[in-house]
Amino acid sequence: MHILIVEDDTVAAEFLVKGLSELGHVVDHAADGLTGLDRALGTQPDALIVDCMLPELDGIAMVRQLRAKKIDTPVLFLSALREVDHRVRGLEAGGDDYVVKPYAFAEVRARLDALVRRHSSEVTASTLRLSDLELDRLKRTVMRAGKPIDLQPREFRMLEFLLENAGQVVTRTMLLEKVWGYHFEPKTRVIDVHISRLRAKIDRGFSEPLLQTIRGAGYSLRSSGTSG
Amino acid sequence: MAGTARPVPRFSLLRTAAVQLTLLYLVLVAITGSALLTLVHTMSVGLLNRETDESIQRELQFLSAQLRRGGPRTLRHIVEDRSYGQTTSLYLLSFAGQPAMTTGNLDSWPTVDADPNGWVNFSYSLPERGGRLETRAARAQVVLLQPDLRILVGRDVQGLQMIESRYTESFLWAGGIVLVLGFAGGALVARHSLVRVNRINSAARNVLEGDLTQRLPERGSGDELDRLAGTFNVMMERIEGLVKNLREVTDNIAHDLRTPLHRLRSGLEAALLDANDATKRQHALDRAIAEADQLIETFNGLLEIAQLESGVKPKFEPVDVALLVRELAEIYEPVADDSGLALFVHVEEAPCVCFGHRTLLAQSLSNLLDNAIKYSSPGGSIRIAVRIAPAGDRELIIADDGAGIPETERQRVLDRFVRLSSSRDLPGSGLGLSLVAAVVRLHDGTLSLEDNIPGLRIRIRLPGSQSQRQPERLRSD
Repeated sequence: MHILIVEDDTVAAEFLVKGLSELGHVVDHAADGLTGLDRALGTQPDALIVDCMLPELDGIAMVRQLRAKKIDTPVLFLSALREVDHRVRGLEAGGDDYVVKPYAFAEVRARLDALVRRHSSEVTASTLRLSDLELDRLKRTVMRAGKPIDLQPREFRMLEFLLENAGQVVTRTMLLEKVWGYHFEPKTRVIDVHISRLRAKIDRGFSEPLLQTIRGAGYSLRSSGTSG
Repeated sequence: MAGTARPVPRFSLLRTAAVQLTLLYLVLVAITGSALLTLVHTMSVGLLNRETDESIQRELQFLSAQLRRGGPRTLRHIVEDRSYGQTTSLYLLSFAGQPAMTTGNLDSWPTVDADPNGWVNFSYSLPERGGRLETRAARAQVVLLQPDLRILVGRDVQGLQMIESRYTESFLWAGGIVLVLGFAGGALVARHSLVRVNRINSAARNVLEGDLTQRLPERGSGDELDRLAGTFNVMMERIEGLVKNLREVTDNIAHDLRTPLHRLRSGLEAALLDANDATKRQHALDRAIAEADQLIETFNGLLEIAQLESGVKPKFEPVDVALLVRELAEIYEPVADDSGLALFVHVEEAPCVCFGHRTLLAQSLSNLLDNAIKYSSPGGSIRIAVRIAPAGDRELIIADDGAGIPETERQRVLDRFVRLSSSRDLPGSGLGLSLVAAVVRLHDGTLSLEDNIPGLRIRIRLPGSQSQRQPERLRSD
């Protein structure tokens, strides 16, 4: 995957370039908004990571210009501003997601993966499958190895989100956002408890554990049979 | 602080409000006084003067009629007759025809030129008792009744002049008295209000010097200056609070950030020492990241609270508190369950809407639930309730039966948004309740900590959406 990072802080940019390159992505870096806009238009990357505050042209204005040119490459905003309403401004300008500095690399990676996946598979299948686990969105049923599993509505939504991002890491903040619609940092334990309940329902009694805890990052629904 | 203050403008007497007020007062008094005296003048002396002029004119008309009827000779007789033994009326007739003659009780024509209508003010001499000559004032009209016949008819106005000069004298006296009284009155009025303004000024200067405890006496009279004093005091209350808050936040930052920074640094140093032992090094680095995360959390918490207290309001929208509580209870129910606690929710089905910030309210509730779970012992219970208070406020209660907070510290934790020393050693940034207090303040609500016997009961009241919107609707009507 080709990723363009527009970030004026060279240390932060290097850190992202290194981390994402190690994952096998082709990573390009621009240090200001005008160069970033040029590269985004010229090289057509698969995803953009844009700092909100940039010299020449700020990140939000840059993305607004991209969107005005009908370019819908997924954009992940980075911001040092933790203002309550700042997130909304970034998303209104056409950003797809938002990470506040200082961030954990795992958070950026997980959100970027989710963005790109959502972008590339716009049509949502009615049935999501992983190994012998099957979730039917229309009937709102979950089966594992042919046996029905009874889930609470929120557990269903959580599993649905994990399945949509199967093989990839999903952070706790992302879960709170997508499942409950709240945008704040949850205390670690809160999401853990819900995950362990879900895990008890879908993994207990089956030979292959699917719902895994990724230390220092979050959770991932993956099967040894599928590549993550 | 005093170094950055603007220089005090140089003192200039004319520029002081006291002098300006006094002068203004004086000008007003002078205008009123002059108007009054002018009126009196017109009514008295003016009237007498007009009377004099009219009687002269009437007499001239009479004499003119006599001239037409009887000719210069008859006129001469009449004038001679009237002049005889007269002291108040003055006559002088000069006929250049045949036979030429001059008669009247005036010796000579006035040396002063008459105005176009023939009026003339002059002085003449009158022999006094004892033979001395007395100079007296007179007013007369000089008319040519025929080309060769000139006549003067006048009146002795010495008496009137006396009245007039008396009048002028009293006018000056009255003016002087009015001016003195006006100045004194103006000064008194100005002093009365300016003493208080100066008191405010000197209090403000003291504040500039750094004395934030400065307050002004309020009389309770409710006049402008009293209200100004009240506003000043409220402003000082707020400034003092902000400065105190700033000091406390600085202290907290010093304590809360320095300790983990130190641990972070030592951890990284230890990782360097353990460079050969991969497992140990990994462990040290993991610990360092955890320390850094803790630092970031604390830092974010402090920043967030500071931002909430900065007075800039984020965008508010209608928020259903009942729904919010149900959702958060759903998130926390399994957590409470895992800790061996029962979570009871008393929320009515009907929406309970207030005007606020959904995320901040959710975060506050989450902090309160975190605290309740953290400070309760297994087997305990936590109750959350939402109801509409009698005044229309949205009331939110979170009660636990845990250790609670001692009454003396309860007030402190709300007053100053400080952490209790006893909670510093527990996990978490310890800023949870401070954030809640800041969020409630942002919503113009109230937060109170009560004894749940045993445990802590937190009561939050938020203004209902009705009371928030009412003023807007009234304004647009």
